[in-house]
Amino acid sequence: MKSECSTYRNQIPQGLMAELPEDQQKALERHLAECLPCAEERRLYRETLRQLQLPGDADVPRHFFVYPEESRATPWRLFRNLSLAWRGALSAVALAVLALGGFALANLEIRAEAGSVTIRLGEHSQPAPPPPPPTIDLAGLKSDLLLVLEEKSRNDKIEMIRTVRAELAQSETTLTKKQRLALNIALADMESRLDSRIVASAGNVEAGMQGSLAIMYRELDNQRTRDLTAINDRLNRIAANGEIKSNQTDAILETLLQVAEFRLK
Amino acid sequence: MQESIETVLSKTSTVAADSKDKTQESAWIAAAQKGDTLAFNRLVLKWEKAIYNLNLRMLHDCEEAAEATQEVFLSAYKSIRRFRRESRFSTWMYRIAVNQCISRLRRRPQGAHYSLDATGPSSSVVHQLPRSESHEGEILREETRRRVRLALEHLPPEQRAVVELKFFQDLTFEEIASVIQTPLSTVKSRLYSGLEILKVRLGRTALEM
Repeated sequence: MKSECSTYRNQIPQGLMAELPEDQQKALERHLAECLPCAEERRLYRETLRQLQLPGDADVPRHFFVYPEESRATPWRLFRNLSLAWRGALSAVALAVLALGGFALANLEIRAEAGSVTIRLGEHSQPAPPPPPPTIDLAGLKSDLLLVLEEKSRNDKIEMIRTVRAELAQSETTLTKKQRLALNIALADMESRLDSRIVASAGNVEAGMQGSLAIMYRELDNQRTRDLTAINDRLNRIAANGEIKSNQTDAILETLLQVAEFRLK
Repeated sequence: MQESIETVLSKTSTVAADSKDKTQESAWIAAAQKGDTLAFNRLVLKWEKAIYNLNLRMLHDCEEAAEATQEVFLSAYKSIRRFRRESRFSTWMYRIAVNQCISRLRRRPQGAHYSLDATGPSSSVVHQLPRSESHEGEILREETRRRVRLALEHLPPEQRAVVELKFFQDLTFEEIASVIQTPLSTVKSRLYSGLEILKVRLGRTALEM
């Protein structure tokens, strides 16, 4: 076989089906006229095409009409259309599902409780879980908090007055009766004012100003600390200077009381 | 060469018949798309022979070919509303049929051999063919068909589909490309490769005869 024969032989079927350009077709014809093996190749292709083009359609064994009910794809029809392997696999899966379903149904438990029905598969039920914690009673908590704060305030007040009285007792030698009486009256008055102040503060807190309450009490606490410090300083000075005159003492005490009252406001 | 009056009249009447046929088919398609089953079954009546024979040559099994043909028409009936007339109805039907056949061939176990000749006489194609005036000539033609069927069995499904559409359904390369939704060059390549195989088998047996 010549080297060019391979190219021409590839062109033979295209030439027979009129798929070659005119120049290539002519070149092929020239080659086939000279090359006997390639001409034989074309004869074989011609014979093949002749046999393929032999008419003879078979008659249909039946008509293939379509009916509306046939067009509905039922699960069974879809299953039948699957290959044998898929049908086997699906059957195995279906059997497994059925077995699991049967096992689950064998352990089915339906229990009616107060206000509810419980359906359970599998093991017998455990005791019912504890009920959820009750919701927080905000009003009650607020009330309790107020009581605690009020109690703390009262204790602080008592403590402060006790401290003042102790300081007065220490400086008893330097004060006259008149001065002590005036001081006691002033302290009682201050106590009364503190009570009314606490009650008023509690009222404010009850009105819903919890934040303000905390600030107010903190401020009150600071104020009291500062007042006590000031009183202590003054009393210390009084004790150190026993020769202070009574009118000076009155003035000092009056000033202290004024300061305390002013701060409380 | 000038054509005779009879030839011209014959061609004219053929063209007119084709036009009428296409108009009628178009009306049936439109009616079927609106759910008219009777109109669809008229289309079945028109195309069942071509589709059945395509399936028969592709599958080489009378019963499976009949089953596949029924599936093809059912599938077409279900999806005819989606037929947009972008191609001919025949192209659309061939596409469904070829896909059905290729799908069935791929599902077959490797190495399985199906032969019409192996089936019983009741299902043999020989018994379904039209009677010929010459018994001897008919026997020779049937022998050739048998050899063609045997040779086709050696082609892969995709090549077999191209050969079937080209030589038995007489489609152009462009129409085949549209049916099997493959590039034109691939269609030609598959056809020539298939012909190469068929030449070896059919050409050799022709020499032996």
